[in-house]
Amino acid sequence: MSQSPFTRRQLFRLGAGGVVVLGLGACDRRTSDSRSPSPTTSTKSTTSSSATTSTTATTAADGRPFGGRRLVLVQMNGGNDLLNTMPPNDGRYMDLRPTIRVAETDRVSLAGLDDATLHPSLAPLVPHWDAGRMAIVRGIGFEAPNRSHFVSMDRWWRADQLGGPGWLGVAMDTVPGETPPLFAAALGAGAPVLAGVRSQPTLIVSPDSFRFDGIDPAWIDAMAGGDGDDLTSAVRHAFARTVDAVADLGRITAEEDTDEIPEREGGATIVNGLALAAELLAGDVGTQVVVVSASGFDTHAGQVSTQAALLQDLADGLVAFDAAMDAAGLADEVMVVTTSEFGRRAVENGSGGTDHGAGGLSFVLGRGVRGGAHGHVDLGDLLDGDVRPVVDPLSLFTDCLEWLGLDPATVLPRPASALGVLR
Amino acid sequence: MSDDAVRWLHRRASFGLPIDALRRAEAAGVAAELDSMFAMAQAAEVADPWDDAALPMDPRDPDARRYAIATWLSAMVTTERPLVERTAWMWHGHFVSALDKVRTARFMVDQIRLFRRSGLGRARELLSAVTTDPAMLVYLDLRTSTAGQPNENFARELLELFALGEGAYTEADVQAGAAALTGWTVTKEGAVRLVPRRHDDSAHRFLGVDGVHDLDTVIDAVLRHGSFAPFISGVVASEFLGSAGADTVASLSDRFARSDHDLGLLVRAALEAGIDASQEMLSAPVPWLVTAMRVTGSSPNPRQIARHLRTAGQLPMLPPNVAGWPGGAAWLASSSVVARANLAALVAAHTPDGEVLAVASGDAFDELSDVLGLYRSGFSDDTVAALRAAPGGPDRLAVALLSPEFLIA
Repeated sequence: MSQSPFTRRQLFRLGAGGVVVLGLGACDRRTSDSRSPSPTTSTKSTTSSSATTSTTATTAADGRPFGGRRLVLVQMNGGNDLLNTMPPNDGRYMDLRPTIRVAETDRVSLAGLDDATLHPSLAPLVPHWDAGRMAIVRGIGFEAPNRSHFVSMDRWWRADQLGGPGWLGVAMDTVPGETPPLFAAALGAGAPVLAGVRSQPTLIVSPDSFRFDGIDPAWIDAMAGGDGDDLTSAVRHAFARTVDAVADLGRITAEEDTDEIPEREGGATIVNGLALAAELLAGDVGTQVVVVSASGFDTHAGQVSTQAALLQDLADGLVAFDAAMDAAGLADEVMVVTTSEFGRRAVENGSGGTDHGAGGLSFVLGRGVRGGAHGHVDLGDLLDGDVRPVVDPLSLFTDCLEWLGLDPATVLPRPASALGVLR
Repeated sequence: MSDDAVRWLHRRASFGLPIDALRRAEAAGVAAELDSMFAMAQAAEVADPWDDAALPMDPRDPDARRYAIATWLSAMVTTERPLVERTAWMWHGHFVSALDKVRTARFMVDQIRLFRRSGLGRARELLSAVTTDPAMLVYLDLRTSTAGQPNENFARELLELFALGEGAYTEADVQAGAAALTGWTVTKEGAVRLVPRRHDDSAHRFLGVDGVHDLDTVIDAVLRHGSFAPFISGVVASEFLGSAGADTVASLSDRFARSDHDLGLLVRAALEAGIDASQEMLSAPVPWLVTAMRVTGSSPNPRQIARHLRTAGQLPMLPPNVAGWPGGAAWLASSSVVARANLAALVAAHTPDGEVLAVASGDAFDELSDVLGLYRSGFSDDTVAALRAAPGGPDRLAVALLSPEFLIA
C-alpha cells in the first residue's frame, strides 16, 4: 500500500496550485480555492464559496447562474387535501364532507375569486393575494392519475417519468462547471427532484446537526475525491461534498444542540425549513435552489385538526420567509412554489379523513409572480370520485424553468405550455 | 469470495462479529456457520429485551419511546441470535409502522416482538398477524375503517408496498380489500377485536378471487397471487444481496412458493446464493452502527446515538413514511454522512481497552482491517492515508469505522 501522506484529491489540488476547478468524472464538484491542503488542519472556517464558476448565457452580473434567480419548492408530502385547503362555494362540497368540511363562517374569501375560499389557517396569505403576488393552481395533477403516493411523487419529481433524474436536477445540470456545495439544498428530507445526472443536492436534515463532532473533517477529506464510478468512489465523492458543505454552512449559522425525538419524521416543519432556506439564500453561500420537505399531509383519519396545524405551519413559514427575503433585499429574486403529490378523495371516509385522490393544489408566491387563479374544481365532473386533474404539472415546471432563465425544452421530457404565473 | 465467505455472511446477516468469535467462526467454515446461525435463530423462544413496566400504554410518554428504541438497538448489539434481530430489522423496514403516528411505544415494541417471533416463519402467519397488529391498526388507520365507509389506507399499502407491488392490482382490488378488512378495532390498552357491526362481511371479488369477505380470505388471495412470491423474494434478495439479478430472484421465488411461503427457507436460500456471488452494498446506518458497536465492544450513550441516527436518516421505529427507508444513494446524502462521521467518533471514543483499540493505536493497518472483520483486501491507499493522518487510538479507529471499506459490506 502507498505510504503517501496525501490523497489523490489533495495531490490534484497541490499540483494545480490549489486554484482550479477539477472535473472528477460522474460526480463533478467544486474544489474550494482557499482550503489548506494540510490533512491535519480543520476546514471548518476556511472554505471560500464565492460563486465564480458559471458562464451560462443567463449568468447574473454577480456571476450567479440562472440570472441570479432563486427557486424554493415546498413539498407537502402525503397528498394535501385540495378541497379543504380551498373550500369551493358549492353545495355539493357540503354533502361530500358532512363532518370534516370547513364551516362557511370560518372560510376566508379572496378578492376576485368567486368559486372558492381559503382554509382559515391560510388567512396570513391574504395580503399576498391582495398584492397580486400569489398565484393559486387548482386541479393540478397528471393525466391518468395513480393513487399511489410513490408513483405520483415519482411523476412530480421526474416530470412525469418513472425513474431517471429529477427535473430540477436536470436544470442544475445545465450550469457549466462546478457549483458551490450549497447551490442546491434539500432541507428536512431528501429531494429526488434535485438529483440530476451530474448534480446532487446537499441534504441538511437540521442545521444544528450539520457539523462534525469529535472527528476532524481533514481526516474525512483525506478519504475524499477520486474519479471512479463504483460504490467506493461514490462514498468518496460524498465525503468531499459533505466536508465542503459543512464548512460553508458553519460560516453562516450558529450552533445549537438538541436531542429530542421530533414529533414529525420525514421532514422538518415548514417554518423551520423555510427559516433555514432564508438563511442559506441570504448567507452568501451560493444557494439558488432549495426544496423544503414537510410530511404529515396523508390525512386518512382525523384530518380536521391535523390539516389545520399543517396549513398554519405553511402560512407562517411563507410569511416569515417573505419577510426575511425582503429584509435581505432578495424579494425580487425569489419564487416559492408549493407542491403535493395528489389531492384527496372528494368524499370523506369514515375516519374523519380522506383517502388518496387526484387533482391537487399549488401556490406560487413572489414579487415576480403574476397573482391570480389557475385551473378549477368541478364537483359535478369528478374522476372516479376525485377532483379531475385539469392543469399539467409540467406547465408549472415550465414557468419555474423560465423563471430560472432556462429553455424548458432542454429540461423537460415533453413540451407543456406555460401556466403564465410569471410577470 | 471463498476466503471472505464467513466475513461476508456475518456482515450481511448478523451485524458482524467481534474478532475472537469471528476467528472461531472462520475455523468452523461457512457451511457450519450458516447451519448454526439458523439453528440458533429457530431454536426455543428468544429472550425478550424489553421490560413492559417501562412501556406504559400511554401515547404521551417520550421516555417510553426512547427506551423502546434504545433497548432494541442494544439487543441487536448484544444478541447471541443475530439473525433474529437482523430479520426483524428487515421486516420493520418492510411492514412499516412508525412511532410518530402510533405514539404508544408499547405498540411498536409489540410489533417488533412479532417480527422477532415470526420473521423466519410462514409468510401467511406474519402477514395475518401484522394486519391486525395494534401498531399497524393505528398506523394505517384500519382501526377506524367501517362497513359503508371503509378506509383504504391499509388495503392500498398491503397491495402496493407489503405484498404485491405497484401494477399488480386494480383500484377495485384496493376497495374490495378495504371493505373485507373493515371492523377491526384496538383499544388504548392494545386489545384487538373484530366488531361485527362495523365489519362488511359481504362477498367481494378481490385479486380475481370471489367470495373474499374477511382477514383470512384476503390473506389467502394475496398469497395465491402470482406476484406475491416474486415480490417478497425481491425484498429479501435486495436486503441481503444488494441488487440481485432476475434469475436469482426467480429461483428464490420458486423455492419460496413451493415451501408454502417459508420465510426462513427464503432467507437461507438468499444467503446461500450470496455466498456464491453478491453485489457490494452500502450498509444502512443502523446495521452499520450495530456492527461497529459489536466489533469494538463500544456502548455509547443511547440518547446521543438516537440524535445522530435521526440525522443519519434511520432512527429505528421512525421510518420516514410507509415505504420505509429509501436506502441506496440516500445514505450518501450529506446529513447522513455527517451523522455517520459523528457516530464513528462516538463509538470509537467509547471503545474499551482491548485488541481493537490496541491495534488502532499502531500502524498495522492490515491488522486493523482484520480485527474489524473487514474483507482480506484490506484498506485502500486513500484510507490508509487518512488513517495515518489521524492520531493512533480512538481517532484512528473512528476513521476506520467511517472508511468506505467499513461502510461497504
